[in-house]
Formats: sequence, C-alpha cells, structure tokens
Amino acid sequence: MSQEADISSGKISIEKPAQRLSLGRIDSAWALVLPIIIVVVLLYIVPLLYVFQLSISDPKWGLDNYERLVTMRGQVRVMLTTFRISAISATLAVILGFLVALAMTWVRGVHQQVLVICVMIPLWISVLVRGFSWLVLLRDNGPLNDWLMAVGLITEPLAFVRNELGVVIGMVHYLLPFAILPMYSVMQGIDERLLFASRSLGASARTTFAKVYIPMALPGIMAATIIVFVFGLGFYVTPVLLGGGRVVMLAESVSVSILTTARWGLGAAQSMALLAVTLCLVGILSKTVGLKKGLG
Amino acid sequence: MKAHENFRRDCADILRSELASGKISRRQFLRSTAMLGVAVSAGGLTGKARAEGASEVVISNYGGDADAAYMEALGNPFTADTGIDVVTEPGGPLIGVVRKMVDERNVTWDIVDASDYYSIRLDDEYLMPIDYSVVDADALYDWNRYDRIAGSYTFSNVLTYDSSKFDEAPTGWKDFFDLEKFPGKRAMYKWFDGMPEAFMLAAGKSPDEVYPIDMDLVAEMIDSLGDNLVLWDSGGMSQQLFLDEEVVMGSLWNTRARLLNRDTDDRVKWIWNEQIISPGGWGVMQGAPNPEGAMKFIAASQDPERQIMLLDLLGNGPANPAAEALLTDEQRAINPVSHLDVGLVHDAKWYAESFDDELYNWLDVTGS
Repeated sequence: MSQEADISSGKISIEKPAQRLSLGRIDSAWALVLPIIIVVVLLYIVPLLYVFQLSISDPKWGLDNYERLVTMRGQVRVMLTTFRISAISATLAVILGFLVALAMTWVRGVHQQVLVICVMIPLWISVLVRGFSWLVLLRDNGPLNDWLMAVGLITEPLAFVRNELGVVIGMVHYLLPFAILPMYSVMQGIDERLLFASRSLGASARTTFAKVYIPMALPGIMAATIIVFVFGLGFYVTPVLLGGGRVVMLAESVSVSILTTARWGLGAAQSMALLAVTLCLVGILSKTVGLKKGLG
Repeated sequence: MKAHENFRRDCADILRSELASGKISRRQFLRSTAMLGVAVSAGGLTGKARAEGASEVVISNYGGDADAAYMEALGNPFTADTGIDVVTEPGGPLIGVVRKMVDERNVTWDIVDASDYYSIRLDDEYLMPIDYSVVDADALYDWNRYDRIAGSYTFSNVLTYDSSKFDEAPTGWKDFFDLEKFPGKRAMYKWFDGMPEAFMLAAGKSPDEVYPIDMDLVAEMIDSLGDNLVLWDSGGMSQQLFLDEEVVMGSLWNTRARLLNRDTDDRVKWIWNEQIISPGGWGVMQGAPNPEGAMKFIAASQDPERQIMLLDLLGNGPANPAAEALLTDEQRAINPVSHLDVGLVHDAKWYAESFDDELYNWLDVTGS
C-alpha cells in the first residue's frame, strides 16, 4: 500500500521541493498570504468568537444554553436528524459520484467534455429552483407518480417528497458535483500502467480494481465524503422545501432561535455545538483514513 | 418566520395576485396595502423625510411592495388630513427586534405592526401606552384593546376541506383527527400559531378549558396522524396543497380558505365552527420620534369603511365593532369577526408566556 502510494505520489500530489520556512525566520512568502489572513481573521474568526460569546452570555452569563441543548426536547433530535440525513446523503452522493467520476476518467474526447458539462450545469442552478422542481416532479400528483400509476406499477401514489426521502433525494442531487469533482481530480491522476502491471502479474480484473485502483482512489473518496458530509450538515432550503415541514435540520432550528423566538444565545450554542461536532468528526476521519492524502 | 409576519406578507401576496388577475383595480390594491401597513420600502424618502422629524410617522412592518404605492394609498390621504407624512420600513418588528432597538436607544420607528400579545410581552419600557384619548377605545373589541396594543384587523384559522373527497362534511376539529371517517392527508401551520387550540377542542375540551395547552396530548395526537400530516409554512403553500389535491383537510387562514373556495368553484369549503381567531394590532415604540402622529395614524385606521374594504379584498376581519352593522350578508359570510359566537379568540396571555417554549416542542413532535 505504501509503496503504491509512493509510486503514484509523483502524479497525484505536489511535493514541495524543500521546506522554505525555518524556525526563527519569517519567510517573505507570508506577505503574499497576509491579505487573506486579515480577511479570514476579521470576517471569520472575530464573528465566530462573537457567536461563542453570545452562546455563553445571552440572556445571562453561563452554560445554560448548552445545558438546554441536551435537556430541551427537540434539540437532541434535531442534531441526530441532521447527522443521519447528512450521512445518508453523503454516502449515496459518494457512491453515485464515484461511478460518474470513474466514467469521466475512462471516456475520452467529446464524451468526456459532455460528462464534465453535465456535472457542472447543476452547480449553476439555484437550490430553490431545484427544490421546487423535485417537488413538482415527485409529488403525489406529479408526472412520476402519474406515470407509475398509468403503467400499473402502483395503485396509490408513492410518497417521494414531503418527507425524509424527499430531503435525501434533493440533497444527493445538490451534493453530487461536490462529490464527483474531488474524486475525479484524484482518479484522473492514477497511472493506468499500474493497473496493467497488476494484471500482468496475474491479478484478476476484480482484484486489480479492489487492491490497486481503490486504494489509489481512496484519498479522493475520503475528501469527497468529508466535503459533502460537512456541507450537508448546514443545508437549509432543501429540507424546508422537500421535507413537507416535518424534517427540521439544524440550520432551520438555528433560524427559529434567531428569528422567531429571538433566543440568540440558544441559536449561537446550537451553531457552536455543530462546529465542535463537525471538527471532531473530521478529526476522527483524518486520523483513521488518512485525510491528508485526500485534501493535501 | 413568525406567524404574524407571514400573515402580513401573505396578505400582500394575495393582493398582488388579485391585481394581476384583474380582480381588483390598481387603486383598490394601493389603498388596501396601505391599510395593511404591508408594503413598501421606505425607498429614497427616508433620509429627507427623517430630517423633518415630527412631521412624519414611521411604521415598521414586514416589507412588501413599493413605497410609492403606500404613499398614494394611505400616506397621502393621511398627510392631506393631518400634514403628517407616512413612511414605512420593512424592519420586521419581532419582539426581539423591538427590544433591541429600544435597548440601544436608537428608536427610528413610531408604529409597529404587531399582535395582541406584544402588549403583555413588552412593558412600558418598550411600548408606549396607547393614548385612548386619541384612539377610540369604543372602536375596538375587548379582545383587541390592550394597554399597549390597539387592534388593527383580525384573521383566523379555519377548518378547510375538500368537499369532493367526503360524503359528509366535517363539523369541527374532532373530525380533523378522525382518519377513519375522513381519510387522507391534512395540513397544519408549521409555525404553530393558531394550531394548539384545535388539538384541545378536538380532544373534547370546552373553549374555556383550552388553556393551558397540554403539549403531551398534542404530541399524542400528532403521532396518531402519522404520515397523514403535512405542514405548510406560507399561505401560498396551503392553497397549493388543496389545488393539487395533496391534502383533503387543513387548518388554513380564513383569507386563503376563501380564495380556495372561489377558485375551485366551491369544491374546497371551510367552516367557521371552532375557528381560532388571532387579533392583530398596532403598537407605538417607546422613545418614538413622533408618538402624537403615531396615535393619530392608529385612530385614522379605525375608520370602518376602510376596514370593510380590506374585508372585501382579503377577508381580514374589521377590528372595529362598528363595521359589523354596515356589512352585507355576503361580507358577513367571509368575515371571521361575524362568527365570533362559534369561534375562539386566542389567549394573548398564553401566547405571551408559553408560545416560544412550546414552539420548540411542537417542532420536535412534528419532526420525522
């Protein structure tokens, strides 16, 4: 495994020729990233600290808001719903996305361009439009149910939308490009000669795929998984539209606290909890399956 | 987001689509959006008008149409009568926002478009007592006359049903939960306002036993509906659910039920029995730049003729009891306030004290 990774590393990752930064000396390269550091600190870190302060100070100082997160009916459930739906959607998006990425690396010329365009186009369409489109297509009296009933496959309309299934369908659709692109960029760099080598050494096609190809594609798969899972945790519009009002994910719950009940402290605590849990998960994943290779 | 805010936006939506389909004239549209206090961004007027201080009234509401429309409708007549300009700001005067503005001592609004329970949630520190020497206390009911809130208009949640789906019409909320007699999906309001009472009435409680709401019972009854419950979060969605025949029954705003009835040629009907009435009202910000002008504006909006026009266009019930005697039978048929005897006016006290907590519980028990 390590040998394979080494062989392929020349292609898939950019190794720095030498460490430029040494202790005790500030490299001039830092001047180049200074603007972005300032932007990140001002626009991200400072507001984040303010959100944290809000979570322990509104309506009074203390950990009351965090206590409410675990004791209040609904808060734990919202968290679990959010993680469950994100995990299911991320898994499906990565599986389907892997197949598309595989096809994209296999085909050549105009076929490849068509595939790339097909993957990119949905990215340019508003999430609202996509949500409503699914709703129109999949609702009880929508074309799909009408067709299924017309050909006699079903007698009662199937509930595709206005439930958790609808949310998963909408989210997988939205997340697919974000799963495909990282995997594609890694898989594109896999040296085909290694596969030929594997076959010539007597491995079957199946073994070659499982033991040679998949391990080399793994960094891309892991990167895709983490990106779409973390992305999915913050979904708002899709669950609202396709969940029939009954699938409340964390983003919407935060919005209730901020806008409707004006409990900003609670909303802030929810956000901080999401951040903490997300960082933990990313940490665990990176320790166990070598995230660095995927994102590095 | 908040029930009341949504209802206001919804009124503007109704007006716009009525205007587009030629069912009302432009002038009617303008006058009625003005009545609603819906509408209309302050636009370029703000700076100039601001500088003139006490010669204007600023109303905070939930946004909507163009400011010019608002000025033409109510601003200009009011200005002609009193010399006071009217400016609106789509600031979304939720309770938290009102508090914040007063706490920061940066009050730029005079009037807020609010609900009855604001009077209880916000004390004199945040809302001025209504000056009942200017505003006519007799032009209000006892359920929309509060120390710090004076009724603006009235809407209700009514049991709405698709008559083509049943041989027998439902008669009350008990039937709403009877899946055997009335099979099919039902729709309720996602943001809970106007819903809990229906559960209590359906469970057989008498109107005076409805409060405090028993949330465990609500949870049980939600479970009994299972997948047959759909939640709507905008008036337009509630209407669409019936038009697409996705639901057979629902708790809808009376304004939307009426449009559905008309647009489906009486296929979708509603009943007044056990309607849940929500009184909307005006409040005046503590520290408002022009409190006298604000009180005058509220008094001017009590005119029964204008309130009846709003009823004709939208179905919003007049806040002024004097309007009742002026109504025709057709108008009474769409006016929630004409059917008070069979309905229930929501308890402002419960909404002030318990609604926010129970909203989280509601989102929990309705969640999948």
